[in-house]
Amino acid sequence: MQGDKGPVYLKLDHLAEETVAEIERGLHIVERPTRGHFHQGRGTDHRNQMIEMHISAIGVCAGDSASGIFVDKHARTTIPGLYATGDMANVLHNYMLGVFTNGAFAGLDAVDYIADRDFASFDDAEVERVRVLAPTKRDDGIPPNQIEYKTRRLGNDYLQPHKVTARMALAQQRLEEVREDMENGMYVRNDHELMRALEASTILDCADMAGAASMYRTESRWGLYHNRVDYARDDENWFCHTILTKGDDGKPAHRKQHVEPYIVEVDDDEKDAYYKQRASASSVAAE
Amino acid sequence: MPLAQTATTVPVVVDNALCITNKGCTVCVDVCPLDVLRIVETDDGTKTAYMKYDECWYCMPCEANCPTNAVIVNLTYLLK
Ligand code: SF4
Ligand code: SF4
Repeated sequence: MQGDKGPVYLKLDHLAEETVAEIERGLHIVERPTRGHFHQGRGTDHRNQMIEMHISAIGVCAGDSASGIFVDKHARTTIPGLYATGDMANVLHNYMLGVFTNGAFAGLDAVDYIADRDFASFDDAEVERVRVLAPTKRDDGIPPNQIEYKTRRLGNDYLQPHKVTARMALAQQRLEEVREDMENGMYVRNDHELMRALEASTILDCADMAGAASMYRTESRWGLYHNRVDYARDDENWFCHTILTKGDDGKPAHRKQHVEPYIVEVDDDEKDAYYKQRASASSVAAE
Repeated sequence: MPLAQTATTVPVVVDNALCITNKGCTVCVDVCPLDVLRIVETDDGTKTAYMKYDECWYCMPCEANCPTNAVIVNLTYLLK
């Protein structure tokens, strides 16, 4: 994409009209309603050309990746009583249907969980209040949109694939500086900006986690998504989940977790289907 | 902090003549997940919805849910 082999394209122009129309319905109505307007404005059409793609988000959500907050089959997180469903849970391709279904499992389980329970006491409420309101207590400082912009910029330019170890290390160093600026200097003028300040802080957490998790997995996997130029795929050491937690020092800590066997039997030649969806530059050129 | 004015075309345009916020409607403000729309008093003393913060997601419930079709979400030049 940014390397010398890019760009990456979405190629639909070899598919039947009804297939393209169905995919477009998803992309232009469910996914992002303005996407059709966008292509119209540019004069681009999936039917007669390949469309250039780009990655522009710090990807911890499970909707498009295989990551997210770790949950069991009841959508329980590792904190008793806290559930996660939808794009942010580690359930592959969760999207809308997934969140409705998984949300129902979570709800049913939660009803049982709270049956004989009172509200928990929350010791950290005051600490949290101080953290959240800090940007309102200053007279001047950095607006949250600039913290967010810098975080996203570093994420997009340094953490996205192809992943280069030295580049990611630089990002981690710079993101640490942004965190210091955010914690000591972010300034908001009203409730809207305070909301954006909280989002900026969450986005920074995501960038930190994405960088740390990417550095931990010293191999390449999932095609472009975790293509580390310094490492090849390594099933022997990395056919596993990697779990990121908050370490005792407040920084990300990591461990490996084994992959449960498939519930439905999968043929050997289907296990790598993911890698076969992609057309290489040479095969497209040969068409 | 010193503030500067940077010209930008915002995506959401509200047709003041169609907007019925005078009758109590705040639908677009309420449905926007980014909290970027507000109601403002215009020069002639009537009120209208408008885009206050230029942080649009282009998700469009504001346009889809306005009872009088007063809201249009445009793709701005930088997104073209
Ligand atoms: S939804 Fe339409 S009518 Fe209602 S406040 Fe917004 S612009 Fe005005
Ligand atoms: S398109 Fe979405 S983000 Fe933009 S103003 Fe409308 S509701 Fe808000």
